Amino acid sequence: MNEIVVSLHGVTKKYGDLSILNGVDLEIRKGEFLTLLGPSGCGKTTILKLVAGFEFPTSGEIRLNGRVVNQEPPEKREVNTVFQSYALFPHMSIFDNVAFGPRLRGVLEETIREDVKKALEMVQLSHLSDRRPHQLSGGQQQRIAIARAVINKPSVLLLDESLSALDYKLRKQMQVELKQLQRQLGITFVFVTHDQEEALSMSDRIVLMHKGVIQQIGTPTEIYESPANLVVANFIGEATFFDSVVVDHSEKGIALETEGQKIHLKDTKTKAKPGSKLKILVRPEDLRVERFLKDITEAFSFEGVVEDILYRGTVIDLCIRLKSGHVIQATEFYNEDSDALGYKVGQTVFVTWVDGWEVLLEDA
Amino acid sequence: MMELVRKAYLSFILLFLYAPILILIAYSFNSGTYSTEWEGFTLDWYKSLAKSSDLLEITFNSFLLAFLAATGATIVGTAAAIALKRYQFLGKKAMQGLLFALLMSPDVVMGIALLVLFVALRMDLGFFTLLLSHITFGIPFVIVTVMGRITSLDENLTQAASDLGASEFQTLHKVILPLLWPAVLSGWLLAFTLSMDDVIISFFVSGPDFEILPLRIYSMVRLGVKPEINALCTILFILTMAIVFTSRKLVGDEE
Ligand SMILES: Nc1ncnc2c1ncn2[C@@H]1O[C@H](COP(=O)(O)OP(=O)(O)O)[C@@H](O)[C@H]1O
Ligand SMILES: [Mg+2]
Repeated sequence: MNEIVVSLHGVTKKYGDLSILNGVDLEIRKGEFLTLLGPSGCGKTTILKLVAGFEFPTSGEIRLNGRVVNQEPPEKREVNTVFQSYALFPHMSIFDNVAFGPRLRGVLEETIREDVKKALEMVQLSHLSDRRPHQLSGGQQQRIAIARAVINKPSVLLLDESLSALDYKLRKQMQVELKQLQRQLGITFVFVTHDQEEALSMSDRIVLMHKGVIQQIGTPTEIYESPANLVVANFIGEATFFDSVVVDHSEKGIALETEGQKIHLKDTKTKAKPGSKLKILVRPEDLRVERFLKDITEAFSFEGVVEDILYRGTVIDLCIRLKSGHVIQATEFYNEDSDALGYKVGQTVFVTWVDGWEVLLEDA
Repeated sequence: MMELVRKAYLSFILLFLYAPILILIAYSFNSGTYSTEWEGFTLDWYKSLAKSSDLLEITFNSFLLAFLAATGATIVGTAAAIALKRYQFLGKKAMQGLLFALLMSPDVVMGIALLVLFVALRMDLGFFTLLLSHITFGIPFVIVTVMGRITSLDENLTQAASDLGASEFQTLHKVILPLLWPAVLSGWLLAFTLSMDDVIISFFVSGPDFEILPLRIYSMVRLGVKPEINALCTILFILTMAIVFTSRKLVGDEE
C-alpha cells in the first residue's frame, strides 16, 4: 500500500535568478489524497507543473512510477491535470472534450462511447454530452474537466485550486464529491489549495509549503496538533502564543518563565538551552478560563481582564488582556445549563490550559 | 440632450464616411455622361461594362491575384504568428520589431525595394512579381491579426491538450488552429482587400502581360472619370460588402 507513485528528490526550480523551489523532497504514495497547502505564491503550482511536465526542474530528480522523468514532455507522462480555469476546449462538445484523450490513444470509437458515457455518469452529467462548455455552469465545467482527466486512468491526478472559483455552498458540496470520487477510483490525487480548512477536511496527508520550501508533511491531525515550526503554526488554525524563556529542563519536564511567572510543564521533548526563547502555542479552544482562582485545577494560571466578548453560535470568543498587557483569545464552548454566558466585559478571569496540550516552538 | 448629440455625431461620421460612395453609386445610374447633374436613371453604363471584355478580364485578373496572394500571405503569416507566440528562437525579438517596421513602411519604399530586388534577380515583371509582392505586404497584417487572437487564448488550453497526450502537431491541428480560425479568416480578408486596392506597389512591380483593375482604373481616370468606372466601382463596393458580411457571419457563428 505504501508504493511510491511520484517522488521528488532535491528538486529546485529557478526562473533566471529567481529561486522558486528550494530542495523539495517529496514522496507521493499510491492511492492517497495529498494536498499541497500554502499561501499564494509559495510554489504549489510550480510543483504541479514539474510533475505534469509543463516545466522542467533546474536541478534534482523527479520520478514517476520509478522512472526518471525530468525532461519528459507532458504527453508521455501518465499524469493528468485539472486546471484552475478548467481549460475545456471551447470548440468541442462535452462528449468530444471527454473523448479527447482516448481518441489520441487510438481507442476504438465504440469503446470510447461507452467510456465517455461512464465517465459522464460518474460526474452525473451524462445528459449534457452534446452541449458546448460555455453553456455549462462553473461547477459543471469543473466536473467535466475531472471526467476528461480520469477517463485516461492516470497514475496521478493533479488538481490546481480546483474549487477556489466556486461559491461557498458548491465548494463544500464538491469537496465531499471529490473525496468520494477519489476513494471510488483509487487514483492518487494531488490537490493544491491555499484554503487550510479545505486541506484539513479532505486530505490523507498535507504538505505545508512556504516560500518554496516544504515546512511539514503530515496527516491533518499531525499538522494541526503538532506543527513543526512557527510558520506552520501561524498558517494553520487560530493560535495563541505566549513568549517564554527557558529556565531549566530535566527528564521530568521543562521550567519556563512566561507572563511574569515561572511555570513547569511535563514536556520532555524540547531540549532548549536555559536562557533561550520559546513560544508556547495553545489553540484558543484549549485555553480554560475561570472566574475564580479556586476553580483552577492546573498548577499555573494567568490573571487577566475580559476586554471583548464575541458570540459565535455554540462558542464564544473572549479577548482577555493579561496582567503583562498581552492580549490573548480564548474560545469557550457553552451549553444552556452552564453559566459561560455570564462573562462580562471588565471582569477579572484566570486563564490556564491542560499541561501537555501546548506546543513549544523555537522562537526564530 | 446628450443622447441627441451622440446620435447627431454618429450620423455625421457615417455621412462623412459614406457620402462619397453613395454619390458614386448614384452617378453610376445617371444618364448624363459628363455632367454632374442628375439627368435621369439608366443602366447603360452597366451594359457597356458587360460588353467590354477587356475590363472583365482585368477584373478577373485582380480577383485571381487577390485570392492567391491572400491565401499565400495567410499560410505564411499564420505559421509565423504561431511560431512567434509559441516558440523561443534566436532573433525572435528582432523579427517582432521588423514586423512592425514593415507595417509602417510607406508603400513607395516597399514598391521600389521590391522592384530593385526583382531586377537584381532578373525576373520578368508580371504575374509572379505581382503575386510575390502582394503576398509580402499581406503577411504582416495576417501576423498581427492572428497574434492578437493567440494572445487572448487561455494558454492552459494547449497545456491541457498535451496533458491529455497530444503531440505538438496534434495540439496544433486539433486545438490551436480550430480556435484561431476566425482570426485566420479575418487575416485572409484583410490581405484580400489590401491586394484588391493596391495601386502604388503594383505600379512598380507589374508588367504589360498581366493587367490589374486598380492600375487600369487609375490610368483611365487620368483621362477623366467615365461613367463606366462609376459602375465598376459600385460593383466592387457591393462585392466587398458581401464578402465582409458573410465572413462576419461565419466568424460570429463560430464564437
Ligand atoms: N514563468 C515564470 N517566470 C517567473 N516567475 C514565475 C513564473 N511562474 C511562476 N513564477 C513565480 O513563482 C512563484 C510561485 O508561483 P506558483 O507556483 O504559481 O505559486 P502558487 O501556486 O503557490 O500560488 C511566484 O512568485 C510566481 O510569481
Ligand atoms: Mg497556484
